[in-house]
Amino acid sequence: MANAIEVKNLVKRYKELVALDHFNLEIKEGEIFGLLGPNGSGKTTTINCILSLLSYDKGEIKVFGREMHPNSYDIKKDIGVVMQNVAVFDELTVYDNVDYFCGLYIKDKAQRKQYVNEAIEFVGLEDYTKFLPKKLSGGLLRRLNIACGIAHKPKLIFFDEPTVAVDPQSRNKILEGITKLNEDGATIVYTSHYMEEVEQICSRILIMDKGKNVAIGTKEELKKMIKNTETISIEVMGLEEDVLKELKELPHAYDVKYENMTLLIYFSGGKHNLVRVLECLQKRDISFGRVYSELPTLNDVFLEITGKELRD
Amino acid sequence: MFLHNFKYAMRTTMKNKTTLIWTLLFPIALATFMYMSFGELFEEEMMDVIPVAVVVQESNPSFEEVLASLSKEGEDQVIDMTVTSEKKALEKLENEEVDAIIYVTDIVYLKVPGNSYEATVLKTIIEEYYKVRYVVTDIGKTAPEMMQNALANLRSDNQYYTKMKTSDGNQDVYTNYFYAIFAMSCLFASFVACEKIQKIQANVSPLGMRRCLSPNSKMITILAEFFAMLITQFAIELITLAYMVMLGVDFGNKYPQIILVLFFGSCIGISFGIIIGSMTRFSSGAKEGICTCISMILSVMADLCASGIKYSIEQTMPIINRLNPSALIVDSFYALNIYDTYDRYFQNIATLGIMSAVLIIISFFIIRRNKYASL
Repeated sequence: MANAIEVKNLVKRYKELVALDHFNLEIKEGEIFGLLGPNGSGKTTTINCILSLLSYDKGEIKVFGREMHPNSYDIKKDIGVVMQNVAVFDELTVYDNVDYFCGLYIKDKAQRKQYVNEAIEFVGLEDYTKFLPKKLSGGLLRRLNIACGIAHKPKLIFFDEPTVAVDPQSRNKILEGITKLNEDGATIVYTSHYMEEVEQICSRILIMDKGKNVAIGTKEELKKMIKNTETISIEVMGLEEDVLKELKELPHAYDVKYENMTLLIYFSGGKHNLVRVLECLQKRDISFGRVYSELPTLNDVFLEITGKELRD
Repeated sequence: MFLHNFKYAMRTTMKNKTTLIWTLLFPIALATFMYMSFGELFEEEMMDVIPVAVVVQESNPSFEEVLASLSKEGEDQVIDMTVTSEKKALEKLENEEVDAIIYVTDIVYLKVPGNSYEATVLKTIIEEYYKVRYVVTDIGKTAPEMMQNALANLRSDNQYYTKMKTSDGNQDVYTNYFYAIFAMSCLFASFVACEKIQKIQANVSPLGMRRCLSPNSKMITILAEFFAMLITQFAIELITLAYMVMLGVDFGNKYPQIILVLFFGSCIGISFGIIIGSMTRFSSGAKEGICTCISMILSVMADLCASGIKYSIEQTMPIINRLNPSALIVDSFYALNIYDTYDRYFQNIATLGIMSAVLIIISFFIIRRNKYASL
């Protein structure tokens, strides 16, 4: 599969601050590629550099195999962007907004009309075509924002945190829509600091921090990069030091923490870890409350690699 | 692509009702207030013939000749005099049949019921008579051989007091204030332009960012927005003109030329807003502040608030008047009404047109900036 985007050795500085530090990226056509990182990690800066909105100090950017410039209209016509902030005209109705942005790409009137109707249907705004944006709820407004970005049926679509401040129902609708767009052939670049969303829809994920590429791969590949395979947490009162020592000596356990009446035992590999932990507690006649067995998340990946939480 | 942009530029302009209404209401309200203030003065400027009673107490042939000349029927008639006795004259004054009584003796004097425009006119006539009489008497005594030249000069001086019509326009000084309203209204188009131009800049608004990502030249977008705003602003100026005419403001009869000034005035106002909106260093609020300040200052400099400022600038730094769009608009009207030729008028119109084009081109070069350092 050919590369939709190629970024080599990209450096972007804001005065003293290095926003992108020799950043590299390759996104294949047909992927849903997730850019994951905490706020300020450089996700949006990366996108803006790729889109030729931002100048950069060093590096090379290619989109569909061609160098990207501000006047690369032949490349731009195949790109759609759904920005973090809603970007629509307050004075225009839902239909007119979609029609305006679609018209910047599609000249043929009949084709444009068809595309506009399809985009409105795609985001489920058929009942709101004559509404002004101010009459729409936050979730519907986000959907309009998406419709404006995708109406011209681009081959490459950037979604920059499209679900910020969106209710769960609209969020699911948006994520389903993105998957559908990908099934229809679009390459998707999805940025978020919500790891669940990225895990849910992305075929490959790049974790960023401080403008650097921290890790890249499928979610399974990323999780294999870390030591942790299972974390067991148990609500329990008054544990003695010798119990903690015994738990740490269980097969495959590599760390034990006991804070705020919650026992955390970290395992690297192994089966039936939970059974062994419970047997240990039962043997000592220790009462316990809720018990959880959690598989590693991308947050664990981020935590183990960078030493800090993904969410601020 | 231009037509698509233009269609939606028109639509967004027309649907921005708050801005649209205020842009229209402002000059109309200002014109109404001005008219309420100057309405009476307009009527007085018509200079009706003043009815006076003349009481000849002692023969004064030279002054009687002056009175006869001033009361001669025709366009230049100033007074309508009735020679009568003092008693009847007083009755007429009391019954308001006449505005004043002129007593003719060797020393001419005036009786008026109070301060009025008519009283001022009559007083001026008498003063002028005495001035001339003194000069003639003095020259007769001291240098009689110069009498011919002196009389010629006096006649020449009198030209100043003769009503002259050099143009079909209205030379009324108060109409200048209404010209200044047009100038200010045109410059106020800069607010809308400033706001709209920020919506095509990626570093100012998300909307601008989205538009920058489309495969289109920014010049097309700027021109589409410019023409949409121009049509709207020009329509507002025409409505304002129609309203002022309806009020009774006399703009003379050169309406095609007046409309051309309003067209180029709208152009410069919008271009002015576009260049301010293009300045990347300032925030949106700061840009609006700059628009307000500059529009107000330039309008004041073009005599909106008080007559004479523009003249003072002309005396000290005329280049400012040549570059101040507000002054150029006012001066275009002035030139139209004062001069019989169109040289100065077209010079002003051309300056407005060139300035407008230059501002738009500069804005394009600022906005088309290939990439931003930060967003």
